Parts: sequence; C-alpha cells; structure tokens
Amino acid sequence: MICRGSERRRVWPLGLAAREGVATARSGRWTSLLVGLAIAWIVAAPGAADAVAVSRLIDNEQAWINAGGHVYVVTGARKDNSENPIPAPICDRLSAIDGIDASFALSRTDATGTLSYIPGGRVSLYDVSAGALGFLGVQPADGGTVLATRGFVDRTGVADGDVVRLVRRGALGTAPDPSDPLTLRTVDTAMLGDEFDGALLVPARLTGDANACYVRTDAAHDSAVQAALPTLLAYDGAPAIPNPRLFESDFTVDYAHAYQERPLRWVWVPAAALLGLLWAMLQWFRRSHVAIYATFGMKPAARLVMQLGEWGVLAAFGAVWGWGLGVVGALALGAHAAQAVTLVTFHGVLTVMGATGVVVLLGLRPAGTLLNALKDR
Amino acid sequence: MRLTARDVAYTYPRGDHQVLAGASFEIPAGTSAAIVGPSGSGKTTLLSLMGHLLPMQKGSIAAIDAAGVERPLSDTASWVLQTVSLLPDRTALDNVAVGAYSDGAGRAEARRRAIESLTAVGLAGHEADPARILSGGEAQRVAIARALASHRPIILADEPTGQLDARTSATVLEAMIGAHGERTVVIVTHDPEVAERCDLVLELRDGVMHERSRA
Repeated sequence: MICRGSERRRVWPLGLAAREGVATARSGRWTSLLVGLAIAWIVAAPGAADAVAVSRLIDNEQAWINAGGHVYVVTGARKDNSENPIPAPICDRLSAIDGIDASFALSRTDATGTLSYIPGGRVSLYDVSAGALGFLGVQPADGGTVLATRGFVDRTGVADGDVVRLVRRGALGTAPDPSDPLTLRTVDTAMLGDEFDGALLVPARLTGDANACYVRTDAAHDSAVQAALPTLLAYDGAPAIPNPRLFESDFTVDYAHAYQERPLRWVWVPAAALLGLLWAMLQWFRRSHVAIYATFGMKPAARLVMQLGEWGVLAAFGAVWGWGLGVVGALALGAHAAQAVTLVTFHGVLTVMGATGVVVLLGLRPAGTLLNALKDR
Repeated sequence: MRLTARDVAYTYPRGDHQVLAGASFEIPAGTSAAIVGPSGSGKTTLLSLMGHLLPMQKGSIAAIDAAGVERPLSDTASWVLQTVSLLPDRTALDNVAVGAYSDGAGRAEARRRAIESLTAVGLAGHEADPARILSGGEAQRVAIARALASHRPIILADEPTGQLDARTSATVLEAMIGAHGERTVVIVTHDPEVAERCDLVLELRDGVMHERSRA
C-alpha cells in the first residue's frame, strides 16, 4: 500500500494549494456568503460616500462658475480721472490663447433700445464684440442677432428665435433708428452680473475701444490667466486691471483644493484595514483548518497560496457585488454617474488591494503551535 | 521506518510539572506499538513530540529508514488526532484526500485512495457527505481514513477508537493495524483491547517509558 515513489513527488504543489483554497471558498456556504456580503458593503460604502461628496462639490463649483466663477472683468487703468479703454479686437482674440475659454468686449451705450413692436419698452443697450456669442453659448443667426437678457424676456414675453427690429434712441431729441430684421436670442447673463438683467446686448457692433473685457478661464489656468491679462490688454503701455467677477476672500471655497484635500479620498485605507481585520478574525476562528493542513505536510508558501486562493474567490465575489451596490447606492444618493463609476471603482480596487496586502502579511505569520490550534477548536 | 526516542523530557511552559522525564524507546519498522498509561502521564505529549506538533525541549526522537538514514518525522508521519479535526464544510472525500495530498498524490490518485480508505473504515457511500453532518464516530473514522489515505510510512494515532463502538472499532483497527505490514503504527490508548492488538506495548509512568510484553 505504501507508494515508495511518492516520496520524491512535490507535496502540496502551489496549484493544488490554490485549488484547495478555491474549494474552501466554494464549500463555505454561509461563511463565504457572509464574508462576501461584508466585503461587498466595505467595498461599496467608501466609494459611494466619496462619489456623493465629490458630486456635491462639483455641483457647488458649477453653480459658482455659472454665477461668474473663473470670470475676470478687465478694465483699463485709471488715468486723469478717466479709465483707459480696452481694445475690443484684442479682447475678442484672447479666446485663442490656451487656458482662456471665451472672451468678449463690452461697452455701455448712452442710447436706449426697444423692439419695434413693443411700445414703451425702452431698456439699456450694451454693445458687445462678436465673442459674446461664444461666451454666452449662442448660435449666431443669418442677418444679425440681438441678445435679450432673462429679465427683458420675462417682462416683454419675447421668445428665442423671434425676428425683431431693434429701435435705438440716442439722447433726447434724436430720431429713432430702427435696425434691419434681427434674430432674437435669449441669454442668461448671471455669469456677467446682475446689472445686465433686463438689458439688450447687441453683438458685432463693438470693434474699437470698449469699457471692459470679460474673460472666462478655468480652475487650472485661473492664476496664470489673471497674471497675464494686465499685459495682454495694456493700453499705451499701461497695464489693464483684471478683477474677479465674484468677490473672493479667505472664505471663498477653493474647489480644486477642496477636491484634493477631501478626507473621504483616503477612506479606502480604513476600509482595507477593516477587511483585513475581518479576514484575521476568520483565520483565528478557523485556525484549526490551517493546523490540519500543516499537520498533513502543507508548507507556509503553499498555505499562503491556499489562503490567497480562498481570499481571491471571496474578494472577487464581494467586490463585484459591492461595486454594483456602491454605484447604485451612489446614484440613488444623488451622485453623478461618472463620479459614481469612477470613485466606486477607485475605492473598491484600492480597498481590495490593501486588504490583500493584509491577507498576505497574515498568511506569512507562523501557524503557531499546531497542537494548540487543533485543541482550541 | 524505525522509531527511536532517547531521553525525551518535556515541561509545559506554563507549569513546573515535568510531563516527560527522560523517556526512551525503540519501535522497529513495520510494527504497531501501543502507548498506554494513566491520564496525565504524557502520552499525548509524547505523540505530539513525535509528530513535531510540539517543539522538542530535550532528548531526541528519530525516524530511520531501511538504509539507516534519519528522516524528518513531520514529513513521514500521518496523524489521527484525539479531537476530531476535520474541515467541516468539505466533504468526507475531500477531507480524506488531504491525507493523500500529504505525500504528493495528484487529484485523481488522491480521490482513488480516499474512496479506498473510506471503504476500509466502513464509510463507503458517505463520500459526498459534508463533514459537519457526520456523527462523532463517523467523523473519527474519516480522520482515520485520512491517515490511511496517506502513504507515509508512520501513523501516529491518539485514541483513534475513543468514539467508536466495539464492532466499528475492530473494523478500523483492522484497517490501521492489520494491514500495517510496511507501516509503523503508534497508538496512544486507554483501551486494553486496542493495546492487545498491537505488537508492542509501551507504558508511560512518571514520565519514563516502560516496555512490557503483550498479555
């Protein structure tokens, strides 16, 4: 019955040890199910929480941008009780510079304006350069465009796409000057400031000097653009003055910093530690299993591979389950889809990788006194 | 495989009682030996030292093959433990196969040996039963089958028939001792009938081994 030749064969090759670990996971029934469930929640929760937090941050930042964040209002330097003008063509061309999203020049006119079929509806008129269309996200129309702000639309009932004639009136006593037919576009000017609400903006009329240049950039280029604007829009060698459209102070939220420094960014670390603790507890309760294998010749390397085999099955099962749970949970709590998928994946992968490190460290520990392990069952 | 022990002494770390005080004996290759003695005399401790489940403190125990070469006991002995130590969620067949894997059997061979061993201890037909649903006696027989499935030349058994009735006990002893021909079998037992079936009876008293002939 004794197989003499067997003494030369390798005992517990790693492939067999791995299969034994997989078989343990598969036969574990309730234990495996509960461990898988715990892994799923521990994988799901950090990513979902972070996705919700980041989505709120993005929403807040978007609201701030919509209100004029990353917009600079550039005016000329004061000189002899007046301001230097801003060269409109240069202002318009700033959008070609890397880091500047859009720009246009604006001048308040002395004239008032109304639409030919709205009696008595005179409002302030602003001449703007052609870049205003891109800045405000408006498609130009053949034959010319006039931009109606939200307040004007609410007050007069005009609609986007209406064909109108703009009647421009200068100082008292001057004759009205009706324009050719123009296509009316409605625009949201919250980004520019409340003072424009209710007014009409007339694009393409401004080609010379302007009162101000509106420049929109982004978080990554904000500082660089602010630094460059005085030189870019200098007039007669005098640097222009860029002012942030929104008031900024020490209490202004720095969204880029808030994203980088958010505490939940590292939440996968305690999650991985918790998973490692869970695995350590499982190994403690099942220390007799390890002792049985060790008693029957399994060496530490094979034992580690066996445990990794079992962990691999449970972690894969739990991680897939947890990923789905995390993404659905994050979406249900109002996270954006992109953030839900990205951050649940990010935290899930790091949590499982960190926990796998703990599993390896635990597996490298000596099995202890096998007799005690077997008697302690 | 011949077993020799020289002046084996052991004191448990958390106590000053010396369990073994210079026990020496020799068990020839291919024989069965019963280690008997009163409770607390150190039988299980001695067996654990033989199987390297406890670290040796003093003295030596060696397994020597036919060529006179000393072999590590941890690689040459298989176990039947006093407490029934099975993997509860695995089937009886899987548990027994662990014994076969211990000396390098592949999966097919381990399965074949496991079926043979389960049959030898009267558990044919229980191959697919999870260990957790087996009775105490069945579980003990699975543990014995596991040792039999291993072709290691030494079997160390601690009270292997403690939970078995007389008829089943005779069956498993026949499987373990009766066919020992090429194996050295060491059994710790309180049961005189088990000791009676062994070639050699070693009695532990006061930490020292006394060999006595079979009755």
